[in-house]
Amino acid sequence: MSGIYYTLAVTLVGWIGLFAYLLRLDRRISDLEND
Amino acid sequence: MKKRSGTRIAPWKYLVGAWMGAVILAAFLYAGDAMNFVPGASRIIFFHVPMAIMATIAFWTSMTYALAYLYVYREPGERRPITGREWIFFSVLLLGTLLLSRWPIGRIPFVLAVILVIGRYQASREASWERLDLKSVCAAELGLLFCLLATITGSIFAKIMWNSFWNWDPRETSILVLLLLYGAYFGLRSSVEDEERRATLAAVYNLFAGIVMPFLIFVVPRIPALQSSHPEDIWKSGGMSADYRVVLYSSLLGFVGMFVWMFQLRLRTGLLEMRQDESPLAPPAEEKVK
Repeated sequence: MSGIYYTLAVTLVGWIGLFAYLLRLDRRISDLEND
Repeated sequence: MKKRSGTRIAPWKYLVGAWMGAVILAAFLYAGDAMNFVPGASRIIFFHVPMAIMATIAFWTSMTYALAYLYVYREPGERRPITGREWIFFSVLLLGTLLLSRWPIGRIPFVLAVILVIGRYQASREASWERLDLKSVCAAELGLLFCLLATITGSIFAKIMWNSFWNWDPRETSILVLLLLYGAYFGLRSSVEDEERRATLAAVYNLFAGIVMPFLIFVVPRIPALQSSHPEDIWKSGGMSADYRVVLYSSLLGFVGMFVWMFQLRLRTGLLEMRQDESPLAPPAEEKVK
């Protein structure tokens, strides 16, 4: 059972990282578009 | 200290983030273990299946833009609205292929006819062939990314179920051929320097790949003689419980949101590059090649 929680934690951390990266990229592109 | 950007992000993008977070939690904590699977292994389906579906949608999206490109490139100029004659042709084509879709293999011509109509519609909205080519590439890139992720997750599933990452199962072989098919698309693009020539060759190749792709995904692995171990059509046969269905469809919706967001980001980056190339401050073409 602990294996499931471990996989859940890894997947969730991976998604939060990807989401934060996409947000950062979106902001950066918007800034470049406005320049 | 770095200055914080004041740009606002569209609220639906935060919704995609929260939605996918909830899907991940539900996949592990809400849905139970599936029958006939190694306990826990079935949860990868919530990510593997939407990735494979998104790859298919992305490749078809790329094909619609390739079709639109060929139409606009053939007849450059202003936007061309769809004529009455064309509407009649498309109606007959859609109706005819819809009748064929009574048989499973007959659904492919119907989907291709829908793509043809969408491609023509895109051509009526966009007069710039450069932008259509860019959109086609963006969608193909995302398709290849999702296809690669579906292959990796499928391989992990195979390791858990059959104790081997790669079994040369018909499904595994067909997805590998698909990866090579679209890998060759990018190989072709990188081998031609002239922009117009590259875009035209890539669009024609894209049509070929888009027609072959559904046969690799939907037909080849289902040929009975090939005896694939891949679990097929569980939802159609009613073998999926309600909790599984809810999480799977929610995941698919989340992946659609991710695809739209990533497509927009890639397109905006490409448009910025185009703007930079057109800028008077941009270096001459010869210098850029070096």
